[in-house]
Amino acid sequence: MESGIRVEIPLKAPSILFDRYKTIGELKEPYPNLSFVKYIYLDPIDNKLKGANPPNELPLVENAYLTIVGTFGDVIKFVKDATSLSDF
Amino acid sequence: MKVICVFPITNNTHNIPLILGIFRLEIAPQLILLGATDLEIKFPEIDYKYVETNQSLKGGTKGKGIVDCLKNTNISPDIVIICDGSNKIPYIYIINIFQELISDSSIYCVMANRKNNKSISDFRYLVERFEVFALKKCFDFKNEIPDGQCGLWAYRHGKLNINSHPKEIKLTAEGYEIELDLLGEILEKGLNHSFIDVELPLNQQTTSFKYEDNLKKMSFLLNKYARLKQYLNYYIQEFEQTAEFLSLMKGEQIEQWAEYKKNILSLIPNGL
Repeated sequence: MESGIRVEIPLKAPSILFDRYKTIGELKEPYPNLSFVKYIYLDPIDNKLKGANPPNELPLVENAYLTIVGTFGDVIKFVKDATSLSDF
Repeated sequence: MKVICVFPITNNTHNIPLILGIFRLEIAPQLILLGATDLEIKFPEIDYKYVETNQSLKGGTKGKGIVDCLKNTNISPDIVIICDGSNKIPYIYIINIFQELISDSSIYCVMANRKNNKSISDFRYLVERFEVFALKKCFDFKNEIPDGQCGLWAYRHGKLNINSHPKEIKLTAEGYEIELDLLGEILEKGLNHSFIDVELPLNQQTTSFKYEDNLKKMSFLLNKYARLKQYLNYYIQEFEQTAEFLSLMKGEQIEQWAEYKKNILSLIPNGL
């Protein structure tokens, strides 16, 4: 069985993630084998920096950091999507 | 043994899948064989202040990105490994640097030594050598320091108990001076360190490093070390008499060095 890894990546636009998903909950759905364990982001509601073990309703915003845990295979699949340019 | 690998990735987020692929196939299995139990990987591109202010990325936050991400770790690491995520340094050397660091418990830091190709301009290399020379003089360090500014390094993290004296490597740099920050910490605290040789490929790569970053680096050192501020002019004169300086001083560097000298002396009161 492949070993697990914990990886923190920056979320930057342009990325297909921002085209496809608006919240952390939507983002989690296509990656069921990954744990989304930490999210450092600027909350657009009160303009404050927040770090969270992210609940589903949090908005997916640019210039944030996301920490994921999973096998290398699943993590790399996610990271390839996160660093891919827009669908359009 | 808990290990964190940090890949500063300014303007190179597209390299992340490649780095993770190499890490999965070649690096992680070796680190685990050598004793790593927990592995965490981080790719700082922007420091958290940039997240906070939502500014567009302008570069120059390499140090802050590293320092910030080390403050926000899930595991308290025993070993921190930093490797530039720009694809200039073959990532496989991470295994060598880790092996070197854990091979001797009296070594607290290992840095890469770029043999042959330095992967930076001749002038930037000349400035790097002066910065290292100035730090050596500042701490009266007699041994050779072959490099000290390559973007691949590793150190023992947290409190170190050295002959019953508690010491700790504390990094505070915000930009490209992060490697100098590490070197200064090691020399100031008298920590044993070593180097591993690395060969960088010759392919041309872009860089976000600007001339002004040379001045930011020196400004950081001058603010951190009062002795350097006091003797900067003297160290410049001494450096200009070394064989290394004379061998590096050619072509357009003569003019560039004169300008650089003027600029860094203007950073200290009555420097010019």
